[in-house]
Order: sequence, then structure tokens, then C-alpha cells
Amino acid sequence: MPEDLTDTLDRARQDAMLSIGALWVRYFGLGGMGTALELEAYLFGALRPTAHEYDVLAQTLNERFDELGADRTIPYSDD
Amino acid sequence: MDPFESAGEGLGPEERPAAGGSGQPADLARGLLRVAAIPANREVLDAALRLVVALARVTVCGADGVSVCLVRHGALTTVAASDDTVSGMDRDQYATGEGPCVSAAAEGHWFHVRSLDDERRWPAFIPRAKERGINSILSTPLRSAAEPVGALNIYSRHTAAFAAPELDLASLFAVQASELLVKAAVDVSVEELSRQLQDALRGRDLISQARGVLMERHGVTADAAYSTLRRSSRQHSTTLRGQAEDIVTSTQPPAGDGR
Repeated sequence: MPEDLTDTLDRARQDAMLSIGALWVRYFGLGGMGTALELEAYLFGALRPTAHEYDVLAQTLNERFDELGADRTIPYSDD
Repeated sequence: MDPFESAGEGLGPEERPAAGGSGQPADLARGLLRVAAIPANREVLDAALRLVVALARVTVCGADGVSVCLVRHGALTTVAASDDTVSGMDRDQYATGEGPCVSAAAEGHWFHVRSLDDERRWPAFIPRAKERGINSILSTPLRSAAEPVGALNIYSRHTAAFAAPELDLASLFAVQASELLVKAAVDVSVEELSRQLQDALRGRDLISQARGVLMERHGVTADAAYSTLRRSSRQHSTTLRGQAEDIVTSTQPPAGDGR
């Protein structure tokens, strides 16, 4: 997981063209345990997710990039 | 090559119904949209929007294809399109994340591209549009309450196809489509949200079952089981949910056995 997550995750969310609410529903569907408010805090670097929650979020964004046919991948915590 | 397979062959500009001039196409549109009545759910709303697209296609002079795109699941989606070229044009814009339709839906004002040859905005999208034989585009925003929520897109094979009367007609159709959206807004959001949550719960359930199977098989923790799922889904270019489903299915006896 990158040292500084400030803004990188939220920039990825914007590139994925998802609202925070829409991202949360997808993240929840992939097993994410954070609330929508916690997710927002992860996105803006106000709260640091556990490696596992970070991976669920990265997976959510990466599946969305695949869906859009975008050549982009968020690294996982063990990459 | 005509990119618009089903798009009014044989109708030259002079044979098309006059736009704006007699006021008849606009009256026709108003009348038919009234018939569409208040959409009660998404299916009805989508049908009404398809009607708007069909009407815009025949009444706007120079229109070779029309589409309506809306924000659904937090992302732009084409909900009605007059043909495949038009849906392709929309898809190209979602994929590149740019274009008049994306801009109109995000910024809430209209975008008019008179000639794709002279267009400097959207450098990733414009070449794709040209490949599809398009030469001018008019995207008008749709609004639900004050927020922009989508766009009405009109595409033409001809350069500078749209002038003042066409711009007026396009905004009339956009206003009508927006009214349909406002009326349907409450139903759409409640229905849509409950559907999304149900689907998300089904996904979580499958994933947690698959994690259980992997924990049992490999004697690993829940988080390690998740990582295994995630890695194999990336390896097989499938979704994590699809991967979980395969694992859960693999534990079931083959159909027909044990009878």
C-alpha cells in the first residue's frame, strides 16, 4: 500500500467516474466492512484503512477500470 | 458506407420535416410525450426516453442518430439510442472519459461541435468519432431538479448540420426528457437503491462462502483467503465475485448425482 494515500484514492474514484455513494455500494458488494463515511475518510487520507480494507477498495476500483476498458490498475497492499 | 443502418435512408435534408418553421414537429413531440404520461417506474421511464430519442431523430433536421445518457450506478449509461453507431459513440466517450456528452452531463450546459475536423477539445474521443463517420455533434444537458443528470446527444454525418432551429428543438426535447426524469426521480432512486443493495448483499454472501471454502481447504485466515480470491480473479481476468461463484459451485455435487 502506498505510504501517502492522500488524494490518490479519490483521484482514482473520479477517474473511475463513480460517486462516493456508488463506489461504496460496489465496495460493500465486494465484502468491504467500512461505512460510507469511513470510505470517504479513506479516499481523502483522513483515515488509514487496514491492508485488507485497502485491498477491497483497490479491487473495487480495478474492476471498475476493467469495466470501462481503461488501462489502469491501483496497486494492492502486497504488490 | 452508411454508419447508420436504420437511420432514414433516402431522406435528404429538403425532404425532412421542417424543424421549427411550421412548429408542427414540436407540437407532435409535445402531444406524443403527453401520451407517455408520468413514468411510474424505470421501465416506463426508459420507454418514454426511447420515444424522445425516436422523435428527436425524425424531427431534428440533419440528425443521423440520437441518444439519451443518464447517470446510473454513479456512472453515465446510454438508456436510449437510435442505432448501434450512436451507442458506440456514447461508449467511446465513457471509455475515454471525455466528449461533448460527458461534458454536458457533468457541466450542465450544451456543447456543440460544428466540425470534428476543427475540434481541439477531447483529443482521445474525437478520432474515434471520425472513424465512425460522424462530423458534427450537439449535446444538451438533462436536469433532474437543478442537477445535471445526463445528456441528449444528436450526431450527424454532415459538418455544421445544426443551426438555430435545431438547437431550439434539441433543447425542447431535453426539457421534455428532463421533466420525465423529475417525475420519475423518487421512484427511480428508491427502486434503484434497493436493487443495488440486494445485489451487493448477494455478492457479499457469495464471497464470504468462498472465503470459508478456501479457509477450510488451505487452513488460512479470512484475510488470506480474500487475497487468494483477489489474486486469482486478477490472474483469470474475471471479477472477484465471479471467482467466488466458481469456488462455491465447485463444492456442489454435479447436477443429476445422488438420485
